[in-house]
Amino acid sequence: MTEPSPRAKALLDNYRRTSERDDQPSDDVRARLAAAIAAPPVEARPRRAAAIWALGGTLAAASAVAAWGWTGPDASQTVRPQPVSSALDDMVDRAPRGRTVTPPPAPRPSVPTPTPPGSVPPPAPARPPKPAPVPKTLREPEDALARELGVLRQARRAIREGRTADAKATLRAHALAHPDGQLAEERDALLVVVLCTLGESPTGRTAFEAAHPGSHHATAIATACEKTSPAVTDRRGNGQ
Amino acid sequence: MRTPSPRPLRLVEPTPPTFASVYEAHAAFVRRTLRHLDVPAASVDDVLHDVFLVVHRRLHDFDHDRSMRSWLYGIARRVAMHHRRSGARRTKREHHAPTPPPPVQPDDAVAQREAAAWVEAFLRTLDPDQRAVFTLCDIEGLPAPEVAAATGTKLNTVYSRLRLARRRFERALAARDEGKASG
Repeated sequence: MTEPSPRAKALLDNYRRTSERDDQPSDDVRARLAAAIAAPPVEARPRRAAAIWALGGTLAAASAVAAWGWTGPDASQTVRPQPVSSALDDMVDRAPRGRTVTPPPAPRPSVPTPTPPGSVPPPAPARPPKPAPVPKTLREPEDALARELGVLRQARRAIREGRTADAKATLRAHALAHPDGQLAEERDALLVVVLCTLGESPTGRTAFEAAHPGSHHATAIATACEKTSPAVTDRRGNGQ
Repeated sequence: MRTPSPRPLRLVEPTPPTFASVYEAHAAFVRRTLRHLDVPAASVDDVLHDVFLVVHRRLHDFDHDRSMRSWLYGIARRVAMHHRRSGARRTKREHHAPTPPPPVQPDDAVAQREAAAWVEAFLRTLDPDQRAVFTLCDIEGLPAPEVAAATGTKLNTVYSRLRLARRRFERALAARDEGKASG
């Protein structure tokens, strides 16, 4: 097969590069999407990806706050627009809902089998006192994720409202309660951004990079930390 | 055609991509793909939104042996088709949505945009099947077997469509040069 000529390749490469720049969806599209997946009315339960997505916005907002803290109010440093909740229902309603895209329903837990009369009940140290409709053990991961998600949302709100110290306290509490939580990486990233904003942790960024190598939050952290400590940090992002 | 790079040794199970990373890396790809799939400009962002809602729901199903872009293409194609079937009423309404004017650019950026617009116009002259193969192979750099899987066609068909599309592209390029020389 004939390969495209160098000129053709150059033109097509230029096309792709131009599109990579021009076809980036606007912040409005991003915010609507974040709203739709952060609080999905179609599916009642939160998902890890939703949480992580929400954090993308959080980090961006945190970076903006960090920048604001260092340079003072600046019209060019605007926090990403927050999702408009009124757009939410409309957008989700329009999502394709074919059989192929609907996730399988959450597995219903089996009801504990009653103990036969006369038999000795086995020792059940972790059994809940009353059989709930959904046994606690099966709901645990979702509940934990929902809790973690709630904590991170709370921190995000605090950052947005300029209560950086509150955000730090919230995130610290989460780090103590769930050191290996499902959202530990996101929590750590947010915490480092907050600490950099407060100028409290010159080594936080290095520690984060060591703990989470290749994290896609690295850029947001670098931005926040370099903006707040330009004197000690290499602005090119080569580390300390 | 670009030769497929050998698959790296898998020493550990790959970590599943996060939704945010997929969006950051591939949103522009999905957006131009939707245009190539003839989604009207006024609806592209809405369809893109729907595509990523599906991505969000299905990310746990992503097969690491495939390329992310061919997987995304499959979703974009289905959502675009769904939109075409169900969206006649909506399209009529959105047809009149104003297109924002392009921002003012320096000269070299203008030249790049013009060249890109010319490619875009050329792509519109291809029939949809040839366009799909040409864009995925020669713009996105996907290997032909992936393109065959993503578009649901035989490998030989992919090659023959690609050959025809490349020939057309070279001819259009030559015609463009002639036009410039005479004009």
